[in-house]
Amino acid sequence: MNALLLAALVGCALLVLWVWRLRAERAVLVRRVEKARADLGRLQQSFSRFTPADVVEDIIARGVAPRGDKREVTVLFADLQGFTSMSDKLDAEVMVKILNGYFEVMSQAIAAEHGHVAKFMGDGLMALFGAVVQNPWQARDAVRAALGMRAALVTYNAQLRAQGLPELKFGIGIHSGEVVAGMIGSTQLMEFTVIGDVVNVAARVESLTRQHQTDILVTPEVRARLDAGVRVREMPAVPVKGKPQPIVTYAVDGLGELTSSPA
Amino acid sequence: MAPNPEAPLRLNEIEWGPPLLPDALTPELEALCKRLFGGVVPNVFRKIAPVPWLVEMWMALMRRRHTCAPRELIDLLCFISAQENSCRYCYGGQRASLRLMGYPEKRVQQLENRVELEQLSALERAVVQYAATLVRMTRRPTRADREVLERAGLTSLQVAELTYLVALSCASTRMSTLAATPPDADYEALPDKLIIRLLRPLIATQMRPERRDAAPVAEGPFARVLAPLEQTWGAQLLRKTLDGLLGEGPLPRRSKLLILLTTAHALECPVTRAECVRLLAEEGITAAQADEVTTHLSSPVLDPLEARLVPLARDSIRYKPVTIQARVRDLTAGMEPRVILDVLGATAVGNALGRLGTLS
Repeated sequence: MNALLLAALVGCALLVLWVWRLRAERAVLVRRVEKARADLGRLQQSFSRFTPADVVEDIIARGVAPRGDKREVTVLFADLQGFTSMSDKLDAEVMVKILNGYFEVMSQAIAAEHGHVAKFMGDGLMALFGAVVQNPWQARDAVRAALGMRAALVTYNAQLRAQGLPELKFGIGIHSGEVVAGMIGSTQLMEFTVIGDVVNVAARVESLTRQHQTDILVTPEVRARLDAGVRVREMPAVPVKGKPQPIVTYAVDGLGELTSSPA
Repeated sequence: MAPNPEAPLRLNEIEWGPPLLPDALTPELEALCKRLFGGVVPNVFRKIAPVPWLVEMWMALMRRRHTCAPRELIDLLCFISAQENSCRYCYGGQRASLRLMGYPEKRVQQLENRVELEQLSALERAVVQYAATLVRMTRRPTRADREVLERAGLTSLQVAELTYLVALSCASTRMSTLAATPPDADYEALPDKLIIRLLRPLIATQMRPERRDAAPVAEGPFARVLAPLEQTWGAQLLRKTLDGLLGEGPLPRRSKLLILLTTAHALECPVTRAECVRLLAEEGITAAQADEVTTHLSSPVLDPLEARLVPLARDSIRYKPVTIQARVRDLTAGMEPRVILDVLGATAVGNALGRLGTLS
């Protein structure tokens, strides 16, 4: 009888221990699921900062799959001139500091005019206007962003000068047109970006700033969408790689007063 | 990289500037607020007190006055709209309201993180999606979007009323964000108080959205935009709001219409835009001049103040709160508070009309 009672007690104790262990394991699993959920939420939030929300939601619902659509965007290319030769004379740490400071102020100038930086490429950057959300004023915004970048560079150069560091000089090219936008890359590295001839032309126009001895150049497609208050000068047509005809560009001097009355 | 302004933020991620407007609460309004809101005066009423139509608009939103939409969907919709608009003031208030009405903290977090939404009913999920689409306006919601809600069990009038409530929420978030209205910290802390937790069932009953009957609405500007709401109380409120906006205040009527025109164009709302062009013609601005304004956000026809207000109206569609607050502060430096309220009011109403126009 005693042995039976003892066995029942041991059985009960083992059962209690087993239940206790199961509860502890459950608690650990719940904590892990909660953490994973929070991480997923943060990842979703971070991702959607740089990618259209509908694209993010589509990816969450259906997974990453080939998708893309055509849309009208304005592309701004900015490149530092002479930075490579400058970097040969500078300490690597100083060079990275200068470059990061430059990208920071340029990104702010771009964001202030409804654009976003899509890529940093060495000492250059590509910014897009109208890629994430439809924007009927994308050409205006891109030109204003370029003027903001010009002003920001003056301020940044003053800071560099005060620290005894060399000043920077950039060239900017802006072009508008239809591109294909979508998630592009490999399964390891994928990003929301745009592809098309518009991107190539913007890059070529940026390279013409050296030839025309100016800092901001826009194409006729951009010029046509600006109001009379933007002061521009027509530059001579120049042949560029990949284009059958020489390209006419306009140097942007700044913003003036609106004087002409519409019909 | 610059943030995508359409991505919803969480409460602690929203940067918020100092308040733009001085307190201007009247004893009458203070007494009314205390009566309606359990002894509390929401900060927004301290700022908008001088403008009766704004006060009425805010009362309607806070009391969630409606005619036919299901009450539980209204609570959900108002919360999603406030969060999607990244309005620290409204989001904090709506979040506290949800918890006071009995939503567990975990459920609120799931909603704001948009995870585990499968726990919601099909109708609730559809409402969350519809509200987010309407707030973001990265594409204009169409008849097909509304049919999803109808298939899930709503009538077309209920869908129209939910659209109105999102539009109203978009208006009020513009007001409170652009004016950097200080969050109601005491109200936000209420759900965690022991006494409130004990009294929650009673409080939830008091906080239920307020049902109001529809009544005939007089003809007036933007009648076509208001037409789908004819059998709801919202049509009356919007008629009063529009009459107040266009008929009162120190900012000229044409300046207000130019703000409405710009928001309508930015939101791709042809019905609101056409009405703005018609009304601007009465103010001496031709259709060609209106076109130039919307094409370039500038025109020789604009006076110096309008030349600054039109780009602001455009900026009010998508923004980072702290950035637009700084912009509004610069733009309104030296301006009388009553004029600022007119500017912000027109911007707010423009954002509502552009969304309501999706029903036409």
